[in-house]
Amino acid sequence: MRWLPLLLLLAGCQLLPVPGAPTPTPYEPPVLDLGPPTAVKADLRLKRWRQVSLDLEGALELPGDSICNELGLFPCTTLNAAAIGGISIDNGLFRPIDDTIPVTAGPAIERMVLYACTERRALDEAGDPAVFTVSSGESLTAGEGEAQIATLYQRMLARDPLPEEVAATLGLHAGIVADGGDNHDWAWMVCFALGTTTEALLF
Amino acid sequence: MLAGMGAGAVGVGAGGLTMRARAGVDGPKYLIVIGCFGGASMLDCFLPVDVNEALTHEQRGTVISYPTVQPSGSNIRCVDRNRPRQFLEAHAADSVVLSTLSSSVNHNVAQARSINGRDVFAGRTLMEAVASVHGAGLPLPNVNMGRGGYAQPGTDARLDPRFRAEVVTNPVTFALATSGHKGLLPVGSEPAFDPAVRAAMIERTRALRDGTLEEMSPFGQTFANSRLRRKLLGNRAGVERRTEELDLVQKLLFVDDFGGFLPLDDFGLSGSAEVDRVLDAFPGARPTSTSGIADERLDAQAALAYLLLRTGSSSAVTLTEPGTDGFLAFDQSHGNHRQAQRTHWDRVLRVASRLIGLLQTAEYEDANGPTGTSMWDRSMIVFATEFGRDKWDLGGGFGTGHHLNNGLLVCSPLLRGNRSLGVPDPNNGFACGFDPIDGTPTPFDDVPAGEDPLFSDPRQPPSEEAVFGTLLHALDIEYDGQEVIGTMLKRTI
Repeated sequence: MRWLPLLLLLAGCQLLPVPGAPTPTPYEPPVLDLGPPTAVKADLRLKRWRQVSLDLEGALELPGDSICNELGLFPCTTLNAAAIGGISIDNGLFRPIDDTIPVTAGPAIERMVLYACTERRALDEAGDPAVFTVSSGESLTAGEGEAQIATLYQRMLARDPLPEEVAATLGLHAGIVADGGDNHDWAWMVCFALGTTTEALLF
Repeated sequence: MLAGMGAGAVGVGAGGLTMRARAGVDGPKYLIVIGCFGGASMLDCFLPVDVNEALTHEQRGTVISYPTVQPSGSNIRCVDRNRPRQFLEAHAADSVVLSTLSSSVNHNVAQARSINGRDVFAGRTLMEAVASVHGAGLPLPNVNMGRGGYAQPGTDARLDPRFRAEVVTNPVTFALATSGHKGLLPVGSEPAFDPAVRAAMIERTRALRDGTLEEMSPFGQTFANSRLRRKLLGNRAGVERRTEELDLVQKLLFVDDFGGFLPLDDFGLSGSAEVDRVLDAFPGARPTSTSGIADERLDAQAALAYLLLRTGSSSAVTLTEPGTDGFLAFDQSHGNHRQAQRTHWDRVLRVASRLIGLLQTAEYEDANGPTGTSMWDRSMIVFATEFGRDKWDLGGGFGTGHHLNNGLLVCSPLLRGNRSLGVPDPNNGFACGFDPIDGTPTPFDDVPAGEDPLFSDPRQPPSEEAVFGTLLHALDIEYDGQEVIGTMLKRTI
């Protein structure tokens, strides 16, 4: 086998010298502690893309076509339907994949939520704020922050936050500012965090 | 199992369903399945009856036949047409053509059986078996761009769900779903639109969400033992993080910016370092409209397949010939047999040949770095198909129905290549079987001209189980009760 490069060279071919795409060294996936066995029917289920989309439309008062578009052109829900509980006629997949969570399900949902939060933020910054009520700038009063957190918990999870959740979420603010963001970025990130909690996605 | 094949097929182990692999001896192996949707008839490509030998029967017509050729250096004969001839000129040394007998003429059933060997390995598909052995450490071990039965998961409930197929609906945009945020928003100067700042904010927010809020929430506490919830959180901490760290969102992009049709630059994305090379091989992989669909969908599937293997993301990938109409592919033979077979054979052979070319010139690296060997040296392409087609030319633009007797093309340096196993009978169009040890054909000598051999005839070719077992054996995977066609293998069993 070590003669292969020479043989290919003689045949007018050559092995490609790794054009910035080396084969990654294999990694050992973490062993998941899935806990005691649970009957599938007794377990929670992941919302399918249509429900995730409907939830976001309701929570953020957005039309369906504003939930997520890749490259500004392609609806994420169509592109990733199979990964997040949909069907795909193109693949002849007429029943959702229910026995596992595809690798791309998590990222696909994050993209939907992040995009929807961005759309709502743009609307609120351009007119009367409906969701992102926090003031601009980098300084945030406790009262203003708590009100914003309460609004987002109600909209995204349909409940009031616990005091410790308020404290933890307020604690994110300093980090976001340190990263270069402001109050709006903080609220936007809280929207993303809550919209992608397992509480928002499982039923 | 038919007697002819059963007598010689080698059983590896007996009883139980234990899986053993020899992976690790010389590293991983890669499987590429090309689903030749609709019935790719070997009589119309690599097991042809020569036009000068075909029987004409008063009632049945003439056995489907062609001018044939055996290219220099090839032990395999083909229809004398550019694409099959060029394929053999380039790849005969790695190619095995064997006659086969399918067990269903229902598309979906036969497609699934072509990849699961009629559930002989506990219902595990070829791709699942390969992923579970050779893809254990990879982020996307088994990726399926197939359709119908070729995209159907196996039925082995004990299979780790990580090795079930990741279904791809559009290869062009699939890479985007390997990151939760990258390339989602247009690039701008505001922090939210600055990719680096946004990435930092998202990392910080995810840490709060997964490390703190999930633990605090009444929902999280109530459903702390939910397996699905743990799996979701496990994916976030494991494989999702891995796909982002590997930057698969760019490394699996086989297209570059294409203005209004694919404005990657505006979203801070650039294609794989091998974009030019891949698009040179598969020019149809790029979309030329705002639909996001590639001009040639099979080109796009092959381009993604190459990058999945090349980047060490996957060990098993599945493509399906979508056909010129996006659906029927080889099944257009119902309308015009010869035209459909020619069109779709040429398409899959063109794409496969170029994919092999890319893999041959991509160096395989192991943990110690470059090996001096190519990716192709450890790869296998299976041209899976559900069944053959009827054997008689009725004149004019005749159409054909489904037929159990057919053949299979497999291309891999891991097989004893340049072999044609089984021969087509000019008196009825059936491909006969062969001795599984030495490959000697078992012709239907005593069947009267114009009559069909019985499907129970022991001289019929091997069925799905033996083919399935042999392919996995060549890929270093063994299971108890495995049937193996020894003459296809390089090493002695």
